[in-house]
Amino acid sequence: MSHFTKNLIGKYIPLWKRKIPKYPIYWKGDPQLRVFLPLFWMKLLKPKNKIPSDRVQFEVHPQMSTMDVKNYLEKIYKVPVTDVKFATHQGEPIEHPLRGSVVTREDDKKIAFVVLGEGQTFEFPGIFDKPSDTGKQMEDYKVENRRIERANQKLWDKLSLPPWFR
Amino acid sequence: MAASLIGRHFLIQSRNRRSLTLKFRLKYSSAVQAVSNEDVESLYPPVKPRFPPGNWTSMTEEEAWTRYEDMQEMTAVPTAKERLEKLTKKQMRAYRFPVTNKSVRVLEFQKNVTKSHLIKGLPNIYDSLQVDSSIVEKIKPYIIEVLLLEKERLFRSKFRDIHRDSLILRNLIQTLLPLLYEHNTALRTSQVDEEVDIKGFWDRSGFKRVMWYDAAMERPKEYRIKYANDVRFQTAHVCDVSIRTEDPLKEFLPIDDELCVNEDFPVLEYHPKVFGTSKTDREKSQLTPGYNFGDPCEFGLVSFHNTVWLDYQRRKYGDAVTEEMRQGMGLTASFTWLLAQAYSQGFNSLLDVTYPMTTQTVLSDGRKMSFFAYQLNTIDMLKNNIANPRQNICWYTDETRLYEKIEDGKVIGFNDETCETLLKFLLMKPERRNINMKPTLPAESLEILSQTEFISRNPLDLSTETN
Repeated sequence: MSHFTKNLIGKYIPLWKRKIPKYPIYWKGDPQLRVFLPLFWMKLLKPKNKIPSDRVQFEVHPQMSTMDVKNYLEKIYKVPVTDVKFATHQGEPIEHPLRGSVVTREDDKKIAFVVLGEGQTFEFPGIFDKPSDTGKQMEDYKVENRRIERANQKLWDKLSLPPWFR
Repeated sequence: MAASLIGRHFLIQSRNRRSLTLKFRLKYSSAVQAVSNEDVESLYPPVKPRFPPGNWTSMTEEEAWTRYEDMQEMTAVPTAKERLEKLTKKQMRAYRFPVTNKSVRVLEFQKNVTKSHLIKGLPNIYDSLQVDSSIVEKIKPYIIEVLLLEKERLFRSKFRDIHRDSLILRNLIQTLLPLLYEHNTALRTSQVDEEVDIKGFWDRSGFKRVMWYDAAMERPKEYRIKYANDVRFQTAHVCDVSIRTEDPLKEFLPIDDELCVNEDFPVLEYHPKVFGTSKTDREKSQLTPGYNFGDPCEFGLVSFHNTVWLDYQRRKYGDAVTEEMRQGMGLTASFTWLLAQAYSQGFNSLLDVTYPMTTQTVLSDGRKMSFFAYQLNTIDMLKNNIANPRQNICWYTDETRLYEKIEDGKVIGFNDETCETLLKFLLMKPERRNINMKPTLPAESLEILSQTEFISRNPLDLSTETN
């Protein structure tokens, strides 16, 4: 058995990892197919290198196509899109801790490179950036630490009690 | 040697830590005479200047000296063909820079890599060149005949659009050229080719590239990878029709003009990967202008390219995006042809162009026509903007239609203005310049000696003329 199926046997598969079931065939005159909980998803990625302001990168369900990505953004989020291109990155290998040989691989990822339309721009927010000004924070932290150490030295014989009772 | 010991202190430490300082002072005797630097045989070689002669503001001293030595080696090579072979000896990976670039919003990248500046409208030379209405009226029926042939009478429905439109272009030019011989004598001694392979490569600074890396952990991390600050681009294109002449076209602007010099050329901060480029394998870079070096007709007059692929892009992306693609196509097509022509004159990325070179290009699919004029002022893209402030210029026009419809054996809505500009492009007269066209090649090079005028000035004269 391949490592794909080994990982999934006897396990609960989360919804976002499931394979999309086949759509029923549409004949003319049939009612419109409605899906109430679609399994498509898109996750914004922070680009490693600098990119122009009208380009965005997403990680995407592997069974999505370019038209799916375009409609997802335009109809749900009202974001105009000109072009979508894909790249699949192979999952990283998981190695045996002793032997060093490859046991399994992580799941493959599908990444979409989207070019926005109509002059729209987007910049990834700086949520995950490290704070540039750590000077003041470090000083306050050090002062607090020193105060706690001095207090502990004074009440050395009562350290077994909780702080409220010292 | 002795002169350096004057006034120096020598510190001697013995094993018992007794430090002794001794002073040496030498006294001159009056018998000793002054010695000049020239007569003394120096034991050490002369100090190398920090930078070689020239302007090297962006490069380090090492890079500048290797570049200077490469230039000296290149000038010693006598023929342009051998120079090309020397440059393409090393196998390298290059980024593909296609003329028909199907990625979206790539025009800024294309402008930066070719170091060119876009201007709307044609240069001033075309205003002064006026085509008589008599010529237009004489040629109009022939164009209409060709269009009716291709569109209605001949059985072309089994061909794909690309082949159909390239056939229209070929047919048009084959009928037009003989009619214009009396108005432009250069066309009599020109060479017309169809389905021409045009390829070119060049190095552009500003992008990072890994030269080599050492996977072994012996060295410290800083010395395990070496980066170079330039990257190679490669284009390959097939042109529908190209016309070449013996003499070059006139220059549109002098090389010292304001537009040709720009120290503030914008620097691109993004990697070429972002714009959808792919890399070639490790192979020898290729360059051909469509003819063999040593050909009598080395300078291009006009080139025609078909634009069927733009219709597909218009259906996908709309008008605004295809407009950028069209401008990019004209820009890159003319740039690569000029680059290859410059290599045939002995110039290359190490030895820069000394005079401006120009071409004209026409993009059409039989009905729509767009006209481009390009002036090449530099090939040297390895230097900084300050060291090499020249830039190339591309003039472009809007897309205009030759005709509106063809119905029932009649051409409806024939546009005389596009016809005029087409004829202007073909009636443009090349001019022999009073400069040496191959200044970097030595005077006794074999290429210049072997170049013969085998095309006689009077084609109807049957007597054999030999040099």
